[in-house]
Amino acid sequence: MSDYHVCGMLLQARPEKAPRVAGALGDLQGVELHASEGGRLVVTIEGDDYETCAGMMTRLACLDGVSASSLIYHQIDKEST
Amino acid sequence: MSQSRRQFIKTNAIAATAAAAGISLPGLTAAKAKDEDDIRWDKAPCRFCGTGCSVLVGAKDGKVVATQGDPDAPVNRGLNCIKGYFLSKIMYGADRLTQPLMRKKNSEYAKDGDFEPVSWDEAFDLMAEKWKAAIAKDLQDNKGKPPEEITSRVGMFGSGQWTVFEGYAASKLFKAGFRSNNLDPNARHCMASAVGAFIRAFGADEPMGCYDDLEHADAFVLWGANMAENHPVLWSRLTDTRLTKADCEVHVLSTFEHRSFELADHGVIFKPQTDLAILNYIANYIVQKDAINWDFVKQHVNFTKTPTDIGYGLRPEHPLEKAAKNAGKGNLEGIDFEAYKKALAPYTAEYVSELSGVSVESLEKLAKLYADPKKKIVSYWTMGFNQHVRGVWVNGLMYNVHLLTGKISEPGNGPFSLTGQPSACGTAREVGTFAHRLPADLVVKKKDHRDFTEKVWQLPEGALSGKVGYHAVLQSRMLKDGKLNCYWVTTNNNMQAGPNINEEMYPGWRNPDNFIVVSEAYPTVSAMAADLILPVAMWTEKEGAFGNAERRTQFWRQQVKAPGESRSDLWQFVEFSKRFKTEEVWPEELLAKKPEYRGKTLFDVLYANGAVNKYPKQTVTDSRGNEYGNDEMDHFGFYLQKGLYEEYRVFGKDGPKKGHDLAEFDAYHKTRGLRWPVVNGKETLWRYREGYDPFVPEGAGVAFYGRPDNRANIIFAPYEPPAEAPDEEFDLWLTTGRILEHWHTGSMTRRVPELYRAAPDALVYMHPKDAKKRGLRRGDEAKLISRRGEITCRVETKGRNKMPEGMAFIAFFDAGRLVNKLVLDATDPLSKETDFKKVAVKILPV
Repeated sequence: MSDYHVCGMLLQARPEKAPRVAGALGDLQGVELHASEGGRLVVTIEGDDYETCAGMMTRLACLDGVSASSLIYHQIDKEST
Repeated sequence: MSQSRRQFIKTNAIAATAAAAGISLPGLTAAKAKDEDDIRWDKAPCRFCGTGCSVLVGAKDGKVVATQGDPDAPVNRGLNCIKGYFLSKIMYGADRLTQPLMRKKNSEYAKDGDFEPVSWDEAFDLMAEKWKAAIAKDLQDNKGKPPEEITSRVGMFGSGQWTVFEGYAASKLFKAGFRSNNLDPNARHCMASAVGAFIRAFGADEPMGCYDDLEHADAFVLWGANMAENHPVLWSRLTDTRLTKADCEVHVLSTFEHRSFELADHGVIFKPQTDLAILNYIANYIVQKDAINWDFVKQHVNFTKTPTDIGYGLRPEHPLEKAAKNAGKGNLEGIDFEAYKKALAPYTAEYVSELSGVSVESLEKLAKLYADPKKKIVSYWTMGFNQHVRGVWVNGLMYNVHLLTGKISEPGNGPFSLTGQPSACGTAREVGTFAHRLPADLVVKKKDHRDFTEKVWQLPEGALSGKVGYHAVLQSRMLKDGKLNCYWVTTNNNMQAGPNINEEMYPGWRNPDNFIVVSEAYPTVSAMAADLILPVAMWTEKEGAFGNAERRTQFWRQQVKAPGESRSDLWQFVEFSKRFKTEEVWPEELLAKKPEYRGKTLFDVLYANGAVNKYPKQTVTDSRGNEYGNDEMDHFGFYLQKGLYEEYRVFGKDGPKKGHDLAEFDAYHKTRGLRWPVVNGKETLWRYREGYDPFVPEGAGVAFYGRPDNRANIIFAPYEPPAEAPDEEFDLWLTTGRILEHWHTGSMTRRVPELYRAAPDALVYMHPKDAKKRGLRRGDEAKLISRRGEITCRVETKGRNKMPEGMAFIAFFDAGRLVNKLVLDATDPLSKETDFKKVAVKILPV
């Protein structure tokens, strides 16, 4: 089993754009939407390494409709030996 | 087992994020258990931009292994941007420099040699020899001259990333020790226009408001700032207010559409340089509609105008300078309201619309917003205003609008100049490491300011030069002309960040008459262009202090040791001072005034002076009893940082300019920073307003006490054209800037593999039609050519920036594409800050 990274990201969008953002998230691998309220979207990114997560973080930040994005939480579960 | 553990971790991530979002998810609670208890966590301000987020730094086995947003920090409240997320990796790039490197041939120093490792002793011996030779010439040149005419052949280019202690130690070494005012920070390239305008309008540097305005305002206007990418945490707070406050509005002005437009209720694209005209139109609208806050204006404001046709800060022989009537002039002339009104009259909606390309409707929308007495407004800007050939003017025109309406110095109302470096304010500006400044808003030109400084520094009278030294761009020119011969560059990468590399920078560094030292952590473009490279300790490898854009001073403890023989800048400056006897740097008549300094070293006089070495060696601990190292304290035998800070604090406490008070050294290690002036342990959130600022007399309401009459200056300045504009041959505007993933020249962020791969190369953003016209498609290699140089990069027509026709954008982080080869070294003639935003180029297929 490889390393496991999880990032908790808060995305902010104008409320009228939030459904579009939510839709776009569905197409991204390792990305999951957990809640959306008043333009705030609670999202996780899961991946095997820093690079996958970093790539996805910048992708989310530049997604159409996303006004602001912040990393709230990150944890790694190392590969079990 | 492992699967369920991962599910548990994921649940924690969701719960923490939902909590930050203020969303309750039933059944989810974060079990905030730190598994790895052997990680020691401590606070530190982030190493990157001027926001000043606090991060928790996790250290283990002598290495920083993790960072996270600090939940107890008032600035960022646990939030972090992607650069902050990777802070733990900036110190561990594979090519980190760990020993001094000198250019040599046949085992001897040679300007045309190759870099070879040397000891610190050998490095400093050679440096001292070069310095002493140059200073011997200075002593000859300055014989019999009064302090106002003292010049020097030695200089330093420092940084808004220096710790407060480093800036202060450097200032003492150069201004007092070497009697050289040729000390300037890279903040010259980013904040000098803001400084100039603060001083002209308010007589005191730095913003009146603070980040709390992000929650108090009803409307936000961005003037030349892409906060979404460059101040993401502040942007997140602003977004939150926009999404939760009824009728909150966001207006974004720029010369192209960037990420901040996503949130905008009103996006405005204007032609480069026409922000001057737009601001005058808004002021004109306020005057014409009599939306002036007369109570405020009558009591607290003067009307003035500035000389016009002031040139472009180029070399005096440049045709543009020769043609300018008032090159470099800025003395204000008092006028009455009627004269101000008359000066504004030409700035009608129609005229300004024509000039700027902004619709009349859009212009009116902005003007109405500022004129509405019920709307609380904060205006934000960064490099769009500052890197501008009329940067001081345009900053001032912004203040005019806030002063006319009285929307200033109170919660939710105010103009706010954001900063790009972590201590552009705390070090460069407050310590005064500019060619014209001394600590706490004092200046070298004023004798009483020099007198006070000489007293605090225990110098003989007349030790400090009263002649303004070479500013950043002038340093490059003087190196090229052979008038500046010893040059120490630290904590910046000017060979990549400075303007006109081919014509004005590189020739001076490689001039055989000159000796160039670069203190660096990595082999940057600047390091590789030097004669001697000194390896430095970074960020939490030393104890430090930064001051952010809202006047918040934040301290951190040394978390880990620097690798190999790397030493902090502070160690380097103080240790180097030991190699100079006073007789070698000061003339006899100066020593005669303080005979006790004869035979002493600059170390004895500047640092072992009874004040800086006052605090004995001690163990540095936090409130939980963890112990931390302090390599400078170990080496010098006293608490160097504390001594420097306590001496520096005297300038704010007892200096001629009031309102710069700082708290005691120890207080800052216990807090997430304090916003100055700090009086009786209490910080100041809004300056100049009674009830918030202790320096405003009772009953005054407002007092702009930086100025002798307690009144701020409204300064009329007209629209004047940029130094160059597209023509038939160079037919496109090029503007330069930053992106989310990389910080400035990428010296640190490009060494984080994840950030490097997320954005490996700089791209030129163009309108699809502009690309097509030139036979280019998205992804093609293109050549960007200006009158001064050329670079090659790939074309981007989609993505995060949408360019209007006629305009191109490129970021400057990419060492493989030195965009500043293209940029003209035209500056604001008043602030001497380069305009990096307006370059005429042609773009061709490769």
